[in-house]
Amino acid sequence: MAVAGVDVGAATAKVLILESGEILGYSITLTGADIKKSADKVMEQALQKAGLSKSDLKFTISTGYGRNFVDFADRSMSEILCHARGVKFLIPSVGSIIDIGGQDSKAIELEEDGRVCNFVMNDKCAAGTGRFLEVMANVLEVGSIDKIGPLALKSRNHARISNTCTIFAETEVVSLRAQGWNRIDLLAGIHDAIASRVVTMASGIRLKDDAVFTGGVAKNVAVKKALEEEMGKKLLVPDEPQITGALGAALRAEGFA
Amino acid sequence: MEELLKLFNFSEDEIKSEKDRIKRAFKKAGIDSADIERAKLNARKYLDLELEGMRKIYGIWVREFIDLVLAGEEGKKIVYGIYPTFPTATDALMVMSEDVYVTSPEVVLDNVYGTLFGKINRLLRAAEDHGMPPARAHCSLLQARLGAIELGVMPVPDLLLATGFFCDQAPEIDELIHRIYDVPVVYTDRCMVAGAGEWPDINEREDVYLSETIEEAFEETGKIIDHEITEGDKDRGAGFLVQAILAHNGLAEYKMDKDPCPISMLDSYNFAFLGCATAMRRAYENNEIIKAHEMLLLEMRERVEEGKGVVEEGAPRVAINIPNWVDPSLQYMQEKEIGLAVPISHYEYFIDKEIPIVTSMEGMSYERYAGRVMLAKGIFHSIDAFIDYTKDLVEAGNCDGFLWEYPFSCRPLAITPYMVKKVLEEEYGIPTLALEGDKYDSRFYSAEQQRTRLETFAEILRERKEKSWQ
Repeated sequence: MAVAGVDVGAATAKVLILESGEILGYSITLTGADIKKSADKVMEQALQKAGLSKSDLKFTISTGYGRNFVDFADRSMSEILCHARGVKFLIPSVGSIIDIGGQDSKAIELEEDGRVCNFVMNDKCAAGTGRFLEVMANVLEVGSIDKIGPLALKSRNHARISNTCTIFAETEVVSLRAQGWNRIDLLAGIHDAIASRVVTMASGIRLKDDAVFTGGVAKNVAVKKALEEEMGKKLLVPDEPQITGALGAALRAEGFA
Repeated sequence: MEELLKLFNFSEDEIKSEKDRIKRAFKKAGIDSADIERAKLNARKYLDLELEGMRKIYGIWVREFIDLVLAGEEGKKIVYGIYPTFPTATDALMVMSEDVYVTSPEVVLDNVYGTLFGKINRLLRAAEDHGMPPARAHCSLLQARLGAIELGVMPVPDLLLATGFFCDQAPEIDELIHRIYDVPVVYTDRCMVAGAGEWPDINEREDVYLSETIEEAFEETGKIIDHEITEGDKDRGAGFLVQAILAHNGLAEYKMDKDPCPISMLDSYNFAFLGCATAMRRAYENNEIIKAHEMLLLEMRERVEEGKGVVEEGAPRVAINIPNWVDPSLQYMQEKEIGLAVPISHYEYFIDKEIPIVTSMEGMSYERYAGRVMLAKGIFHSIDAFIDYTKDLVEAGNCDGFLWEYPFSCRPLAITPYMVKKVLEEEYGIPTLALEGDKYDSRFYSAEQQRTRLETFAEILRERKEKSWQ
């Protein structure tokens, strides 16, 4: 019998369908303003990919900040435990996780058996999150968020950008742009800023070896590189880093099915 | 108004005889009919009004608030001690005369004007007009003191008993009040020399130094308010203090290991602070505090016998530092919505190591004793003691972890959370969540913002407890 994990984040909603530890299908869509509608939509898409219907699902767990608005879920869980479970499944040697999503970032420390023993999250500001990158991509008129990472890697002279606040950093970038800094160097500075912010936050836990980078921002090669430089260690990135929360929720759902 | 007062066991006769006073106090405090409606809603939702003992205890707080607001126009000599440390030394002042009113006003304001009426922000904003902008490491508890004076919610005192015992902000605020309102300030102080491995022993130098400053402060106080503080006053004050501590300790000791937890931490805190932090002559003299404690103990026993509690049996249990106060929805979320049992807090329980010190004053002066009551507490003693004390609390309460929601603007408490967390986790294996918040200013932190962190912590503890993480 199949189970589902639904991860409704601030930026994207993800559903993953699982049966006996095998991923049958998953889907990712923008969360938008109507959480319930997005959850329904992404569930339909995932079911279609898995070739199943809702009645085939034995148990569904929702997670993410919109978890309590997923009407069709049998229960909800916080995303930190789900991310940990999903990552442990994909990369069994994982010791810690850096997850950067649309509106929050978190660092999670795992025990050897995969249990979460410690975590920290950003608590006041979006400066260390995907939203920060979106705002900056807009300011610099890059066009698509997907382009900013590869562009930033071309820089040989990183600008210094404040990492304390998305809005202040935006003003700073506009000002530096006016001073003649080119877009690529500014983008590199922006990536350094997000890495510095996240690593500072992550100092609240022990960052072990076999650290795994997840969340939508893990797809950005320049953030990964900046984080690795800041932390002084390599990061592992799953093939699809955005679905680890949904995967973990589905794995936990198997326990209830 | 009558309906609200009846929630807190005000009798018909008392409402009738006190009506004019209460109306005057509410008017002076800017409490209107909408505020009274809000207070009724808050009381019914957040306070455990099923318990008569709790209704009595909250009634004492409401009476204290009315006395505080009217103390000036009723011609009292007014002395404000400071929270959290000095009230133990003010018990002698409290009993010395009907004409002297002594309290720690911010405790009363936060609990009644904040928790019940939801109006504390009005006081905080007023303080901000005097150079205390928000989010600038100003203690929001003490902002309420300044704001309440500024708005006339409570009177300008005749004397401020300031102390730097635990925190440097307290004497600074009193200095500011002195500058604005020309109120005399008398200081007590402590030399913070207690170190690792000393607790529960009291450091001799601190002991002597603190008691000497209290003695000098009492002498100075007597001169300023024109009342001699007699040895008899001190004996009575000490008697009240010991009586209240033991009564409270009995309650805390009874409930701390019960599963399910029979009362919420918000309610526990209300009785803890009656005994240990405020000075309320009338409540002591009428024996109201002891009666309320006895009633509450009886009701808790009934709940325990019936297997009733405020959270499910077997819920993950956490010890905490201080409960959320001016925004009761935070404490409500922790216990009622997330399902964390909170049986014990730093301020609530004098564990075995402290009780012998607190209950014995043989052969020592009142000043020495009053100082010792404060110096004995693990949370005030030293960081090393703070850690050991927390470990002992976690064990005494059969707790699964420690939740430290520290006030961002509290300088003594905001500095150490991660140091303490590291030691508790690595040396003692106690899962610890350090969560930034502000128990005295709800404008910066909401229940929803903290929900994910608290839910995750609860899930981690639940899984460790049930070993069901697989």
